Amino acid sequence: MSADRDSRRPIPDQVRRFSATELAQHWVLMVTLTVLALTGLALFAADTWLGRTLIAAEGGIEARGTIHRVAAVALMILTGWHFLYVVFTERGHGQLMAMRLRASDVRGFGRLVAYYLGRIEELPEFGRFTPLQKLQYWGAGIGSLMMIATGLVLWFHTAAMMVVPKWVFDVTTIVHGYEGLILFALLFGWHVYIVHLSPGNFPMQRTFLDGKISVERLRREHAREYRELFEDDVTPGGASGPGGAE
Amino acid sequence: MRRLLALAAAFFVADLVTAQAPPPEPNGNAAAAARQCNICHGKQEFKTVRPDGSVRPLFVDEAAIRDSVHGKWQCTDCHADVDKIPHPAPLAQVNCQRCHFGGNPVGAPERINYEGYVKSVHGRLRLAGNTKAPLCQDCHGTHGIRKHTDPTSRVNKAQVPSTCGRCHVEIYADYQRSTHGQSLLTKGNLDAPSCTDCHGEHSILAPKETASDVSATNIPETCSHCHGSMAFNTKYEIPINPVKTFKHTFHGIANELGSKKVAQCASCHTAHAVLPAADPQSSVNPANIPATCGKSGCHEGANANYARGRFHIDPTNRDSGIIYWVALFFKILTISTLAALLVHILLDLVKKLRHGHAGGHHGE
Repeated sequence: MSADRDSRRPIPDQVRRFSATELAQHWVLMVTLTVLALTGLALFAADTWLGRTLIAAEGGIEARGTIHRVAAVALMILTGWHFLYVVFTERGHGQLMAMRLRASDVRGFGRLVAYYLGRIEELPEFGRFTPLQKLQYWGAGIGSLMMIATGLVLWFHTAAMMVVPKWVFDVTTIVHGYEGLILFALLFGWHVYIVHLSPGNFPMQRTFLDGKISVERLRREHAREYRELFEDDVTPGGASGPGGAE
Repeated sequence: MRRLLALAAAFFVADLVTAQAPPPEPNGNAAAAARQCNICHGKQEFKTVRPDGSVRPLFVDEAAIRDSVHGKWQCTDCHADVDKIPHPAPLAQVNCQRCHFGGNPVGAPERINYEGYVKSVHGRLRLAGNTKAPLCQDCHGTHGIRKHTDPTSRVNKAQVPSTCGRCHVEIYADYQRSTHGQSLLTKGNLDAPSCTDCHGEHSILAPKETASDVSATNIPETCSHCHGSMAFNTKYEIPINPVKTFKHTFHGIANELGSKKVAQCASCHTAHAVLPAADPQSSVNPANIPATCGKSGCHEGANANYARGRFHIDPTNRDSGIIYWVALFFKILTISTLAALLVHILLDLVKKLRHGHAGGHHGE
């Protein structure tokens, strides 16, 4: 596989893409959002068989609420943890910087569309995070923050309504419901398709388990990052590379 | 007391379960027979003094009996324990089941819900020895019983509130000033509910009993008998379906799933003093909303913010104002997001299936 390469360093089969901390945060997010989605959907669809089945499975309407709130607290703790991680750790801050939305992402997105429509032959070259990955991250992040904010109003409604009128509360209820539905579709539909269900990845990609990505995939889907790691004049050993810190 | 208890027990248990005593034969000469009773009971001034010192009138208006559904019967057909005159006082409680039982040969109406009565809050209290709990005659009357279709009957729809109100005094007062009471009693509008339309008749249960028609979890269904229909609501200038909109709120969902803590219809509108929100006396008038929502066990400390907004909102109705627009915005956002995600998935699928998936895992 490295016949076309001219390198003095041996190229490994896999590189580490995510640190243990990042995998742990992903696990907490995955579990809390799953619990929140199932208990939330139960209420959102309470007048359908789906809602009734979920509520029964969750131990009734009051237990459902308790489970939802416990998971919400876990999500808030995770949010605090993630915030500290991306602001105060070198590795985390580097990842956040790599995750910034830039003008090149808009161009990259346009070229991706062109690729899908058959206008260009080759998959566009992306860096560490593709435009679609950035959409997933910021969608999940901003969505979670909105869910936390609106959810707190609903949870502490008696305190909230000392300040806001009833119609704001009613609007909050609607936003929380639909925002949750959008987030559910984004992560449990789209994100799961992209990382696990799409041809080539099906039935499962192992990156979320071991944090590793095959070099072949890295070269194809993150061509610029691959070049920075293995072709450009970058110090080997990876202390400055995105896959370096563990 | 013990004798009363024994009588009550005999009345219910023995007569419900075992074969009935042979019912009386119709007697064409009822009027003549009554004349003997009238020697005493035909006198207005015929009275006795109860052991507690109160006076009990013993006059019986024979004309009222002749006008009643029982006009063709004679006194002893019901007061069967009179076998000589003068008879010992007091007589036993009249037992309606002497005639009113299934398959009775004298043609007495059989559709009488004794089983429901015995299980009802009234029947259970009476069986337990509470003589204030009503027997048949306490609601239907004694000598002047008329069919419920007769406007002068004590169990006619419009008369039921005053009949129940003889015991349930304060509830009767609340009901009389409610929109339901005003409509039925003052305007004679038979659309309005009488006591029995919500509570049932013979099988009335206490509201705290789950099976009651007016229990916390059954109230929405009971109110929906009228207010579930938009034809009905429109007739009375109620612009939205209050039951349907309630069922989509958190209160409504939790209520439907059996929570007794959350608000149901009567929690906010009261059980008996129901008035339109525009009425300053109404529990749901904006000025009274803080007190209503702030009831102990609900949203204690509720302030005027609770009244700043709409109630019974239908997010699909343009009249719902900002709620409608926000809901519409989010519906469009949700649908377009889903559509965009789906389009991407389809494009990606087509691309990868048609052109192979550029490596994937098949080298590994």
